[in-house]
Amino acid sequence: MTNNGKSASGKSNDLNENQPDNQVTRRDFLNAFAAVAGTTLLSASLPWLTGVTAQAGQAASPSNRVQLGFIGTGSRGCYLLELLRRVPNADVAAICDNYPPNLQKGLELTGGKAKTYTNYKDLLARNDLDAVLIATPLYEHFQMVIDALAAGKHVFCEKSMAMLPEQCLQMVQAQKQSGKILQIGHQRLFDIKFLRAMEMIRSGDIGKITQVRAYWHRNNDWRRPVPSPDLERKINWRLYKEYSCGLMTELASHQIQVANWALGAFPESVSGSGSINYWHDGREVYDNVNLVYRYPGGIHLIYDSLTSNKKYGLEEQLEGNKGTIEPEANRFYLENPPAAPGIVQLVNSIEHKIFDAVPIGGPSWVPENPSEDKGHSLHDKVINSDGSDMEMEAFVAMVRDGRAVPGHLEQAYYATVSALLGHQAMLENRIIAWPKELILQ
Amino acid sequence: MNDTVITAKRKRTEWIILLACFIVANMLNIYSIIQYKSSWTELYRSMFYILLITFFLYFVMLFFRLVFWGIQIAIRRIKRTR
Repeated sequence: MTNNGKSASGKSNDLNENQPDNQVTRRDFLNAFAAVAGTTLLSASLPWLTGVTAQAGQAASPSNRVQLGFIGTGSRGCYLLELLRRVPNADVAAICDNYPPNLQKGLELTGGKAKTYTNYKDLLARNDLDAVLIATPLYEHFQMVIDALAAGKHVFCEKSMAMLPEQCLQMVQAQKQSGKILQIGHQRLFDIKFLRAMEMIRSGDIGKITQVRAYWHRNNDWRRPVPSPDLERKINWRLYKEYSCGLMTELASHQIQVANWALGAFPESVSGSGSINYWHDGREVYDNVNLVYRYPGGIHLIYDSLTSNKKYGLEEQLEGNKGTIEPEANRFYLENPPAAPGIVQLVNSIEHKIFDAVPIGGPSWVPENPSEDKGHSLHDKVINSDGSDMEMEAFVAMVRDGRAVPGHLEQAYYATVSALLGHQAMLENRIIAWPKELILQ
Repeated sequence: MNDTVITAKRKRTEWIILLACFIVANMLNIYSIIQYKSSWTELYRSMFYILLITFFLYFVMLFFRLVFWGIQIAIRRIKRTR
């Protein structure tokens, strides 16, 4: 992706082919994904999609099985392991975690078949692994990815990429030098709702996007139960600035990635403010953040996240002059919805003439109330997936193909660096312009 | 309870009234298409609304006719008692 706009993702238990009563089977899901991903507009900007669907649909055969190592079997790691069990041709041969309870959970998910490690370097030393998946705390991503690529492994790493922009750049460079795949866990890139949204945007269905509003609101302390006080920082690493950039790298990076994707650009600058205004529990990262990202053409992403109110949940509102897309809700709204049939308009008109109050003086201002348009579905089929399952399918398929595909890593890079620059802007209380040295060549 | 006899003439009259209501509803549809510059395909695409209006008009007319018959019967009874 360039800043000239040259290029452009709930847990699912519904994709098992052995569950005929489910709304959508794995096959249905792949077919739906292929249908959306195969459109000319998307295949041009997301070249990996069509190839991935073709490969993901292949039947399993012993000759092309992919041997995987898994580093970090915490909650997210175990979720991904669960998804990997459903991917044909994927064998998790080794798992690693330095927290015994998590390692045990991971082992159970592999049916006791995987060899266990507590040091990831021992896992990387194995020659029989094609690829590794990393789902560790953020501060460990950089070194693990660099080491894994150096060990000749294809890598899937959970988002965000790293804690510093310079580290993200080094990771991209290391990927290029190794020629191996480096895929980052931005599952919305594989979410049908988001693919449909991007297709609509590229088709001009909502006109020119002039503003993006995104938010992620929760009402919980984001803490995990700690069996012993000395494990506080290890388990609740998200709350400490030594290990995490808080809301920016854990939540915002997903949504900034969507904004970058929709706008086909990365931000020129960012300003923001964050604070701890509710959870005064010893945490070091902000419990609420508010930022404004400026994109080329004077387009803005207005972002906020908080952990003390969940009324509005999460959404990315892609606002164009002809319509609005809310991909998380699977909805789009037109600025000027098709008029009702003439006869309905006539009846409404008669009704208003009879029942409406007659104003004595004309109003000088009419309240611009929100549109009551209920909108339309982006995708008709109910697919309870956030894209993580297809993301795993895609990674295994790409590893089997042995080819790094263009475009994907750029999306992750710009999303993470955008989030990190936003974090920096809040810490330093200033507007930060995108550094030239952080533009990918 | 006595049997109720609906004569052929009554049936024909009711069908004619219903048909008249249907024609009026369609005329309203044509008027609204012109007035609101909507598509002529609404002549058949809005058939649900046309039928709805047809029956609405029919029952409005039925209401007034029943009121009219009620008054007529009341007047006849008053005349007989005199």
